[in-house]
Amino acid sequence: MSALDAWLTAQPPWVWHLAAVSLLVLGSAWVVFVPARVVYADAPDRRRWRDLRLWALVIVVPYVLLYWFLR
Amino acid sequence: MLQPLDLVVVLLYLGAVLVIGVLAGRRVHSGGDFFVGGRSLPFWAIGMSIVVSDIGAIDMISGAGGAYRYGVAQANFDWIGSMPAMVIVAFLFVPYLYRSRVYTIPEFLGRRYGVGVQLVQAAIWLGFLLAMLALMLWMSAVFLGGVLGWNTTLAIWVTVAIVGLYTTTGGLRAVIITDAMQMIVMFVGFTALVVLCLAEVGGISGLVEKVSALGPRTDDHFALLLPHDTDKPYPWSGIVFGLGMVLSTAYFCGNQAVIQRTMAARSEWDAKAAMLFAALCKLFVPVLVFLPGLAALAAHPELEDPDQAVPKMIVEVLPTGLTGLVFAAFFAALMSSVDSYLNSSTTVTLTDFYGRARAALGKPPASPREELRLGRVLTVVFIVAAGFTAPVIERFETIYVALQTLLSLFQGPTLAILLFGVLWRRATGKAAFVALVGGVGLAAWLTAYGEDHFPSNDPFLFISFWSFVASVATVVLVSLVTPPDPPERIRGLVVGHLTAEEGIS
Repeated sequence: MSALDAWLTAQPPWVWHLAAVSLLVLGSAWVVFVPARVVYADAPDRRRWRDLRLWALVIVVPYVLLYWFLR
Repeated sequence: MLQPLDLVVVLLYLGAVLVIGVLAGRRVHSGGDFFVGGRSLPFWAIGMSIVVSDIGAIDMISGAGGAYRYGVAQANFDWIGSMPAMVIVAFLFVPYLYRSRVYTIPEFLGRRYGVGVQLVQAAIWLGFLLAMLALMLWMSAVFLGGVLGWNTTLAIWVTVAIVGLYTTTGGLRAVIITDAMQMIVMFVGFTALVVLCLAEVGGISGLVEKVSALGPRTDDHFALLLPHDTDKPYPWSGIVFGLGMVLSTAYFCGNQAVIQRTMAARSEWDAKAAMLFAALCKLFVPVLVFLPGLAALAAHPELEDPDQAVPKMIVEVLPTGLTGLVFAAFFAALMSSVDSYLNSSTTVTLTDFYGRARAALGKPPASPREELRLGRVLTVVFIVAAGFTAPVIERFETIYVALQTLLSLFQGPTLAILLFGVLWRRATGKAAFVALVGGVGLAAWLTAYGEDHFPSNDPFLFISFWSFVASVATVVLVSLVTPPDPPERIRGLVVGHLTAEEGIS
């Protein structure tokens, strides 16, 4: 077993779940930095519900809960 | 096995798909209408189509079988295998793909990097799509023949007629509209199955109690992430780094069937929203597919073939009528796969081979009407050819396995060149070609000789991660020692390089 394998095997379950949750959060939260003109490009109006950044942030919440609590 | 009422439900469903699909064809007047639905479809229809194309009937059977064997860890492929990949694709890739007005991913890579990368990508995708088309047609026919009591040859040609008719007349518009309908049938049918399965085993608490009582074999059945040295095929490290970071993103940004659907959106906003709506729908897929598998484990812990978990629960718990609906859902999944592979094969052939050949011969691009005519002819040719090859594809299982393995080798390198193609204007065509070939070569070497270096017996999650890392390093290093591509090649294709008129700077 390589040193990397040994290190990965030694990690406790909370580290696995923290890694998964971090990936989900970081992979989704970066969209808050996407400019509004890109988010609303081609949209017929700029109503709040069309803000796709909010969609991403709302949709990721159940995924985060699943990966944090389903152990 | 099916009662007359069930048969009526299945036949009504098939008739409805055919009518709706053919009606959708009345608005098809050009190649653009045929290949990308005239760029007129709303986000919800495209999102549902992405989900249903992604879940085949094989996934339903083997997914439930996987839940029976390995527990809820099987859900990772729909959960962390969808998020955050679909968010990344929606905000990072879709704007550039949509604005570049391409029909295929190889076409985008061709514009960004040149013809070499385009042809390599198109060839591997076309081989995979055609093999899958014949295989899915065979499976649909076996399933339909089994349910309706027809012989397999008759079932093949009935499926060819139904799918061929609506795909030839309606193109991608018909495919997406029927897919949306198919997703509703799948969700309604499987929700009924889940509710009745849970009632059979005493609800969620009864399910947990019965499965946990089965001893050491089910110790991990309710854990989503498993140890790095687990004897099951989904260690947490492979799931997070291989699946979550590389494979899922590569799948959603490089899969022709998925991306072609987003190109059919009526606006760039709808294209991005479709991807996010699909991510929301994917949340429910494991619940619908895997709970019946776990319920079968609770009710029948000694099944010889875990892939029989769902069929067994269908027979046991569903009343007449609902059984027909769930069978219709299975057939929906199969048909949506057949129509997706058929439409995508046609699009890749005409765009990446025929279009390139015309350009090489100095001819102008085909007119919209000619594109439509060729698209329809090729659709008929492919579905009829698939009808003839479907009965023999099973005998050549090694070809299918080889193509699927080859495609998996491409995932990491493809993600690397797509990512750097969009993010880094200095990435060059030569670097992308070397990274693609070198990354695939490394992945092939690791697949053949690297098993001892990984803890899992099936190390594709780790191989995709390391081939991605190697391809990233290659793109960067080779780009820095090769001359930059001319600005006109990358205009509109790279972050910070869309014109002000197009709204992104």
